[in-house]
Amino acid sequence: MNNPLSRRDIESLSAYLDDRLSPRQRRALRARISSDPALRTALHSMAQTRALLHRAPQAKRPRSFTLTAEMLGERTKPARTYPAMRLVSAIASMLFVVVVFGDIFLGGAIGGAETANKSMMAAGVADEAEMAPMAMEAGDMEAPEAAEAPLAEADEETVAADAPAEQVDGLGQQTSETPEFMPTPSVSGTLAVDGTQLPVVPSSTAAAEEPGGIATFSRSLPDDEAAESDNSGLTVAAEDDFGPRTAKVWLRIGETLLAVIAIGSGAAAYILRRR
Amino acid sequence: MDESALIAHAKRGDLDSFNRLVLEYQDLVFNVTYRMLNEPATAEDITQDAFVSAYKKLHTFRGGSFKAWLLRIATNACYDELRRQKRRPTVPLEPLGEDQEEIESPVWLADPGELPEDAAARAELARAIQRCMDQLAAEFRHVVILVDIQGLGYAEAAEAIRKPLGTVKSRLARARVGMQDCLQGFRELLPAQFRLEEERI
Repeated sequence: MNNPLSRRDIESLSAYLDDRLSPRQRRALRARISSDPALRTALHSMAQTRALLHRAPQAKRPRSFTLTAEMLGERTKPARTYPAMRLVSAIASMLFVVVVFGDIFLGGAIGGAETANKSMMAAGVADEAEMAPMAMEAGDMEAPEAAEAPLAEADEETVAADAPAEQVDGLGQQTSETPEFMPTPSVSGTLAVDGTQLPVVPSSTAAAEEPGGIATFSRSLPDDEAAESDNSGLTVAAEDDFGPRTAKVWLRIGETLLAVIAIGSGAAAYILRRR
Repeated sequence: MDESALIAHAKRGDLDSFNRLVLEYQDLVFNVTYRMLNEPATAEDITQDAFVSAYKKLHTFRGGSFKAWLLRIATNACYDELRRQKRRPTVPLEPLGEDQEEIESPVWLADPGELPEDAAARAELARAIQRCMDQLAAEFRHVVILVDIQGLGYAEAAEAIRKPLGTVKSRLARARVGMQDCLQGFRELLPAQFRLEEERI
């Protein structure tokens, strides 16, 4: 730059050309330009340069620079559905946790009742095997206590169901006739349900001494009378068994559905985010 | 639809609205990047990247001049490219002339409706200006491109380069003097219609 002017003068001239001086500065510079030939020449040259630059041809762009979704490689429209999916996923996850914890804490109670009912049923089947010959002998023996068989004593049966297996083994031939799937402790459970508080003894003896106990679990008796007696105690037991089991099934379905929704919506939100 | 409405739509993910802004500013952005880099292919890439970047960062735009905001993104990308070129110098693909200077292809400047002599004059002027501009430091070149070639006001230019108004005034004045000195050497080469002429003061 072979310009004799000071930097301040150059800036003033440049600003003067762009009309960026205050009226007072402009007047002062005009006065200097009229009296200083070097300043006038510099102004003239700068004005020519500025005019030339203003006329500089514009480069023609080689193509359009409009964007496409592929160029961006991420969310465009789906951005709207992303928050909804994220919210659904969060809610489903929370519900899932709540249901699972509820299942863990309340499942004990349901499971206990279910276990009791299972034991009762199993005991009934065991007694059925015992009762088959006895019923034939007893003939039309009535079982009025059957209707009064307290289901509330199921818990006692559960406790009794924990009796050692060795005691059951002592049942001998009669227990050997029980179905294979039947849990053996159920025999002692029969005794407990009837509130006899007897130690485990061969069930044939107990049954003979406690007809109510036999009647309570005589749902499988072939006789019509025995079947009638079922209408009281055993039907209630079967319904109670159905309730918790159904509840548990629905619980499992609910848990599965919530898990599927949580995972599905989470995956959808992730995919939308990635787009 | 006005610019602020297009920006609002684009912020909500409407790519079509953003593309209308691209159509409005693509010539300006490409010219600035081309003048800054003097490489059409690189300028093309930088321009495209600048628009992609602008779309992705649109949520950071808090109002003011969208043009200045867009140019800031583009010129920042140019500075990054210039720094990269400094670190890794490249060999130009354009052929070299007798003076070992790169012979610039005027194809990108061609106007189909222009007479051959006018096209030649235009190419000559563009070449002279670009040659002089390349001799300026990047920060001076940047200001002269924005104000004198692209016609931005001082305030917009200050916003685009994120510098105070006084810096723009100072840099512009020095850049003009630098261009003036350089163009003296090309005066006889310039076509008559582009000769430096008197301007009413």
